[in-house]
Amino acid sequence: MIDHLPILVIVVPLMYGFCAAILKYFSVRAARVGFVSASSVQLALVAALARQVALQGTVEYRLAAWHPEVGIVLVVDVLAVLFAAIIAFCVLLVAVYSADYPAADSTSYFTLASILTAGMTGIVLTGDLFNLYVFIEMTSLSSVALVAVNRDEKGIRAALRYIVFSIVAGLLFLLAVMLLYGASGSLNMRIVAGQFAGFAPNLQAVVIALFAVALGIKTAVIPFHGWLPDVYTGSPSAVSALLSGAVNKTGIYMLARLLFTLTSPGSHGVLQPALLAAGAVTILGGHTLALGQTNVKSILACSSIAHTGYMVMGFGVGTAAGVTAGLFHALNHMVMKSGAFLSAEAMSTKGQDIQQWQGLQKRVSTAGVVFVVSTLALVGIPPFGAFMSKWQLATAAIQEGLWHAALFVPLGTAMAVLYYGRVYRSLFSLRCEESTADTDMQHLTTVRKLVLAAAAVGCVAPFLLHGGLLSVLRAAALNLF
Amino acid sequence: MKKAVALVLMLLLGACLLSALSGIPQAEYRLLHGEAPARIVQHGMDDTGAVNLVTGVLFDYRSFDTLGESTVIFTAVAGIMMLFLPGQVPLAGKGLSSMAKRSVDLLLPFVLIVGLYVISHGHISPGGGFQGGTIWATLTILMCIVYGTQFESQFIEYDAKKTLESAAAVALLLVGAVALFAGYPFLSNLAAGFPGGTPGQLVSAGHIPWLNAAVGMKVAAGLSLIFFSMVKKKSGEG
Amino acid sequence: MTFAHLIMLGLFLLGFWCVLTETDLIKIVVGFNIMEASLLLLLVKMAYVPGGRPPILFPAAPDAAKIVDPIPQALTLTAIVIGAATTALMLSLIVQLHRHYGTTDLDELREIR
Repeated sequence: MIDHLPILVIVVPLMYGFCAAILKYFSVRAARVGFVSASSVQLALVAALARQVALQGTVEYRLAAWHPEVGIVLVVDVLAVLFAAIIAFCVLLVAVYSADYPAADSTSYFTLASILTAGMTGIVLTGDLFNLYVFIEMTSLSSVALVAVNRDEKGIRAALRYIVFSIVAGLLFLLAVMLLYGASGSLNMRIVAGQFAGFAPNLQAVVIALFAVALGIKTAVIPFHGWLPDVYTGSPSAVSALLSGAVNKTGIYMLARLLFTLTSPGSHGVLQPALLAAGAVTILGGHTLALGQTNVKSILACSSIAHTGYMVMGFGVGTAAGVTAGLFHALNHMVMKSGAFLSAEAMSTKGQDIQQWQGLQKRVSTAGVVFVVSTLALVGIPPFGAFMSKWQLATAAIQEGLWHAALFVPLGTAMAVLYYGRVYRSLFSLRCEESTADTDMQHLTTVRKLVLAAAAVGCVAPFLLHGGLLSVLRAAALNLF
Repeated sequence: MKKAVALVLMLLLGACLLSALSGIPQAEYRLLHGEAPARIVQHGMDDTGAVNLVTGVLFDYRSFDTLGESTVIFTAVAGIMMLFLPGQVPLAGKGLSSMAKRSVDLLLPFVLIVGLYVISHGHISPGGGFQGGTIWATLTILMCIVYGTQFESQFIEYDAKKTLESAAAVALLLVGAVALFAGYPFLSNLAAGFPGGTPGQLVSAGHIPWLNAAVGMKVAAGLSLIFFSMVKKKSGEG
Repeated sequence: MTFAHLIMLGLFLLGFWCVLTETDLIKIVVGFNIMEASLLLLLVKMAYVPGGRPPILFPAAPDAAKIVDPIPQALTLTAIVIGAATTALMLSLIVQLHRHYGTTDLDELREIR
């Protein structure tokens, strides 16, 4: 079975997703246990796959036993398995946290979340352009439905906004894939990339632009960020954690994979400066948007935009060190944002407005500590992983002589201090609002506390282990060159 | 103002696409130089056992895409069923006149058989699981219009459709997994030892008819679930 | 570049215009479907060989040079199904929105908020 690991990683969550509705006939509890165990099995399978990649190098899996020229292949290199691990870890955190989710129809939640997992893993592993499009649509449809899982007005408005942007991105992506097929007669990424330099220059430019816009929408890079604040704020926090921690990362992965496979990253075309500029604008704009928010979840949502900017800037630097820093930040951001969103949900029994959080710190110990830890990590101060990734990003930019780009990193940190400072001031204020004083705090189950603790540990661990992590990430970055 | 921006964007996109399309060669070029189309047109029948090459591509060379698109329908159905509460009562309707009911009764077996034909002959003639499944789904929609929703939901229960859809989706995965146990990659067809038969015969092309059957059931159940979820209304509403 | 390409391009831009300027959500769905249909047309056009035959080798195989490319046709089928699923989900979201707010017009929705 070891040879079939790449496909099992996709089929196992898919199988659970199909079965969840049937399991519910026996008991809801069975569906719940199945959800958590499917996510655990997924992480174990990804770990086994990572081991296989470490031992054998890049693994190629030919679906239906066809050659890459005619069939679909899954290509698992270090980069792919890294992102598969990020996704599986985030899904497991959220799955354990939200297994007893009080959604009106929890089986739909389980089904959709499992299909989302399969879709994201498929995006990361596939080596075929049209197959990538199919997985993108699978991911976007299931995440749109998840946003509306509570069926409340806010969720439905957010889901509609999300699906409009997703359809636009999907159509542009499909168009680009079609143009590539038209010019090359193949859908395999490696074959298309090999012929790409020989295409008409106009065609090359249009394809790159279409991919950049489509993935810009997916990752909410700034001119295309319109959907993100509403969607992350309007959806249940577990879904926000999933969207920010995992779904957004698949966009980052595709951006790196497609743009760098089609054009070699060393070539100083217009792409490198464009990515740098988009990264800088996104960092600045995301933090500025966050400054204007009073809702804690909106602040976290806007800061997601800014953090995407750091990753894009890392790709824009265009050296192995820059891409490594971008990938490192993606890894850190997954843990930090999942921790922040999940603990924010535990904190907001009264509401998500900063004012409603006054003096909460004394009452919700675990969630409060994890929230402070994960937001401090998001700011990027020393004992946390994000400090290391931002440091790497700045040094990589300076090595290339991009001083002006490196300046955005400390600038972003300073702005983050401002808006998280406001949250902390409310959180630690001694004056307790009457409305918060007389309500019972939501009791956190031990399991949820463990999840939050794991997220908090995950914020610190990359700082301590950065030596080993960086060598893995560097190997992943070198897959692109 | 908004329209001006839209116009500029539209013209920009148009110009980009126009210049990109001019760089695309004709189909003959791909059939000669593209490895995939050339191979499929020349060896497709021997490779898959299907004389309909489109089905061969869809259910053999690129069967993983087909699994993906079935999952996309499954996702949409799951999402739609979640949005429309399962507890909602079906909108009762009396349906049309008895003449309409009689003619639909007469029509029913034929539509059923056309659907079955399209699904089972997917590897020989134009058609397949998606098309046949859609024909079956129109049957339930037709019944709903002519007999009223109440009748149709008694005829095939909501939960039965839901189970049928899940079961068909699981069947699709299991057919793919058969090859795993034979030691071949997921969804392998003739390579994994599925009998190819004589191309052009009804029983041929390895697992393609099986996949077609599973997809047909799935699409039929899924589409009619989408329709019935949308038709239902909350009790007390219009 | 042929006449068919121009028609497809025109349809695509028409759908795009519809999506950008219309304020009613149902019309935006229609716009998306026009855009998608134009892409599917382009796919089918890509497969076509002058005087081509359908890629069905039964009862007798047509001249190999005259068979149209089967891959874009299969991709078209996949894309149709995905488009239908997306449209269905978006329409049901709109139905839900209409139940909550009583309108599907974006301008009116903006005022309600």
